[in-house]
This record gives sequence, C-alpha cells and structure tokens, in this order.
Amino acid sequence: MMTAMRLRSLGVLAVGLGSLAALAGLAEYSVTSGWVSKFVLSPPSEVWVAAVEIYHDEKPFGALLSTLGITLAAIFLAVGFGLPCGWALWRYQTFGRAYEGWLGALFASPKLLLYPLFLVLFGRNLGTLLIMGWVTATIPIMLKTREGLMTVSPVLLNVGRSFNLTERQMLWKIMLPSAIPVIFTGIRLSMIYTLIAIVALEFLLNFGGLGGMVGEMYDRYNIPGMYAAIVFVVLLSLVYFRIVQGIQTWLRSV
Amino acid sequence: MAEIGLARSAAAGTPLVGPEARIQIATVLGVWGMWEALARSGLFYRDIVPSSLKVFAALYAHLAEAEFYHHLWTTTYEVLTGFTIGSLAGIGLGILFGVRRFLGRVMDGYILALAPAPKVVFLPILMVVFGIGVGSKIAMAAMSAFFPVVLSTVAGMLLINPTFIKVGRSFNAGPWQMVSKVYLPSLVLPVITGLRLGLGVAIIGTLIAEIKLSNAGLGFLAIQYYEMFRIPEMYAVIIVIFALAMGANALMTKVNDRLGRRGMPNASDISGAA
Repeated sequence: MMTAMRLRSLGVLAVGLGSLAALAGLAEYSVTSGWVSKFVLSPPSEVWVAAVEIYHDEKPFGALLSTLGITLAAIFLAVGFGLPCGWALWRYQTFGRAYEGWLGALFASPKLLLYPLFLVLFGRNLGTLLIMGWVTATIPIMLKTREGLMTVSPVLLNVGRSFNLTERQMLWKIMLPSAIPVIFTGIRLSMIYTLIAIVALEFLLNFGGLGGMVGEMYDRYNIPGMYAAIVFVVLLSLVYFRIVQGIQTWLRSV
Repeated sequence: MAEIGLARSAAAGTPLVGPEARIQIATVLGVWGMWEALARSGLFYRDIVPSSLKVFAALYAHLAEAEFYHHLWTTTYEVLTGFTIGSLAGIGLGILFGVRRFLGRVMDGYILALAPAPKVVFLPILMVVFGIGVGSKIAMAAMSAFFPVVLSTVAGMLLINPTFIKVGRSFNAGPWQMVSKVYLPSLVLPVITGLRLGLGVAIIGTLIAEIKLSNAGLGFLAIQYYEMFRIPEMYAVIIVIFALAMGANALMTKVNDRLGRRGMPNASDISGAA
C-alpha cells in the first residue's frame, strides 16, 4: 500500500518535471525557430544567462531583504495594533457587532488602491509602503483575534472560573493560549496579503525590492531579465508561503 | 402600517435605532468631523486633505460628465470580460483536473505554487504579449480570477458524492451530460465561492494594470488626477472604485448566502453524504 502510494507520488513528480522540461524545450524551440518573437518570449537558455547577470549585478537578495523587511515591519506593527483592537472588539461585544461587517467589507475591498492617498500624505518613500502594509495586515489580525477569543471552549473558561482567576489571568492563562491557532490564521493571512501588497506597490512605484526589480527589467526592456526576475519572485514567494504554512502547522501540533 | 410600527415601538419604550447602529452612526460622524477638522486646520499643504464638500462636488461633477462614463465602461468591460474568461477556464480545467486525477495531481503543484504569488509581477509579460491597451488588462483580470475559481472547483470536485458519479455512469451519460447533469449541479456553491473571490481579485488586478500603464479606465483616471495634483477629483474616483468593488463583493456574497440557504449542496454537505 505504502509502496504503491510512493510510486504514484514519484510518477506525479516525474510527469510534472517532465512536462516542465518539455514546456521549456518548446519555448526554446519556438523562439530560436522564429515562431515567436524574441521581444515577446525569451528562450530559457537566455533567461538562465540573465538570471546569472541579475545575481551579480542587481543584488536580488538585497531586494528580497528590502521587501521582507518592510513586510515584516508592517506585520509587527499590525500585530501590536490588531491584537488589542481584536480583544477590545471581543470584550465590548456591541462594538464588535457594529464593526464586524465593516471590517469584513474592508478586508475584501481593494485597499491597495488607496496608495495615491498615502503618496499624497507621506510622499514616495518607505512610509507609504509601511502604512499600506500595515493597513493590509491589521484587519485580518483584528477579525481573527476576536473570532479566536469568541470560540474558546466553555470547558476551559469554567476551569478558569473554578480557580477564581481574575479577568487578566483568564486572558493570559486561558483565552490567549487557546485562541493562538485562530489568531495565527489571521497573522498568516496578513503575511500573505501584505507581501502581495508590498511587491505590487514596489512594482507600481518602481521603489526597489522584488517588485521594483521586475519593473526595472520591464522598463529597460530587458526581456530575458524580466522573465528571470519574475521566476525569482515566484520561487521566493513560494518558499515564503511554505514557511508561513509550516509555522501554522507547527503551532497547531504544539 | 409603518406608522403603527413606529407608534408601537415608541409605546413600548424601545429605541428605534439599535446600539450597533448608534455606534456606526457615531463613528461615521466622528470620522467625518475629524476629516473636516484636519481639512480646515491648515496642518497639511493645500488640498492634501480637502474638505468633504470639495470631494463630493468633484464626485457630482464627474457623475454628470460623459467622459467619466467612458472610463467607467472601460474598467467594467475589462473586468467583466477578463473575469468571464478566467472563470470559464477555471471551471473547465477544475472539472478536468477533478475527473482526471493523475493530471490533477501533476497540475496541483504548479497551481498551488502560482496561486498565492503576487500576480502583479506577471503584468510585464502580459503587456509585452497583449500590448498596453485593453488586452493586457483583460488578461490580468482573467489570470487573477482563474486561480481562486480553479482551486475551489477542484476542491468541490473532490467532494462530490461518488454515488452521483456512479449513477451517471450507469446511465451511460456522455462527458457533456456528466458535466451538465452531475458535476455542475453539485459544484454550485464551491464555484460561487470561487467566483466571489475571483471577482474581487479581478477588479484589483485590472485597476493595478490601469494604474501602471494605460490611457483609459478608473485606475488611469485616479493616477492621472494624482499626477496633476487634482486631489479632490482623485478622492472622488477612489470613492467610486471602492463603492463598485464593495458593491460587487456584497452582491456575490448575497448570491452565495441565498444559494446556501436554499439548500444547494456545498462542500461540507457533499462530504457528509459521502
């Protein structure tokens, strides 16, 4: 049974990698044979050369650190603001009910398009990126903190009451530890949406980081470099999301 | 009737407006008051925080202009065309990946890798392939909508009661009959959920593409006003964009809730039945 499953997984992996290699071969052939213009699609061999050039000239890991730094700083600020606000929305339930619908609508709204407003207020600098990241990150943390505190098991609350715990002790010893998996779901959503928002803003404003790197390649009309930068951003975002997912799985198991 | 209701609630001593609504009204008035105070304080450079009266005057002026509707139509056309293409591709491929599980497993890795990636980085490719006109914006909307729709369709396919599929096959249903009589009726709720998410990201994707490089659409209009430092007009366009995006989301949520209430099979029902 185990061997059959492993064989099937290996088959899936082999076909997946094989089809990727076939796609790369088709791209190479279609450009070198003149089917597709070099100004539209770059042959993978040129993309590889461009990737090596980008690695030496553009310092992509510096761009990565810049993007990650702003993203994590925005999330740090959002946790500092969103956790107490989420607690307040749970503690004062009328306010929670009044604002829940609004926060849900704001979460689904295209907040990224508010950036001209912050550009006007703060200028084209890190402040705009940070505040946009914070706006994106705060709402899921607030909503999930409230949800996490609302769904704490009544059995745990009764245990706390039977020990005559104060309200503060109940919060720190019982409610927060029990709500952590749900709260981290909010933080995970924040980490995903904030990275996407920061990369998009860097791209729109040509303001460094991973998004700025892709935008710069396009502006220079360096087509192989553009493809290499896009592949780099996609691979890095994949690693980032896997790490975030891994942390959540670990937290659930603890 | 309404008067009787009002009289009754007054007689019973219950407030006409609930506590949540009072908090909401107070919040709106508080934010509006703070905005007006900031606008008149002189703390900010001219028109960076314009009076709400100026913003509403700009909004009114826009709504009365024919050119505004040209931009509104361009964005609506790009969003709806791209959303339709992306959704149809998402539903079609989602069903295919659900039926042909080996193919589905092979594609899972690629779809899961690309789905959460910031789609905006693909915009340069779309502009190189489709140009800087309407085509690249439609492609951006289609690509943005595709991933949530295909993911929820595949998830829905995996939760269809196997008995339904066996019944379809025992009646010798053809591929199209299986799709129209078995798969699609079982997929209504997961697909609607995917469409709701897809429409939201299609709107964002289109507007970002318009902001980056275009010559028409609401995103173009907003960024043009920013560059011309016509801030009240910029705020007016942003209000329209937010109203449209939130309205579209509310509409899709309502459809989703209504179908759920009517007892349309959803993922959990199907999994329970299986």
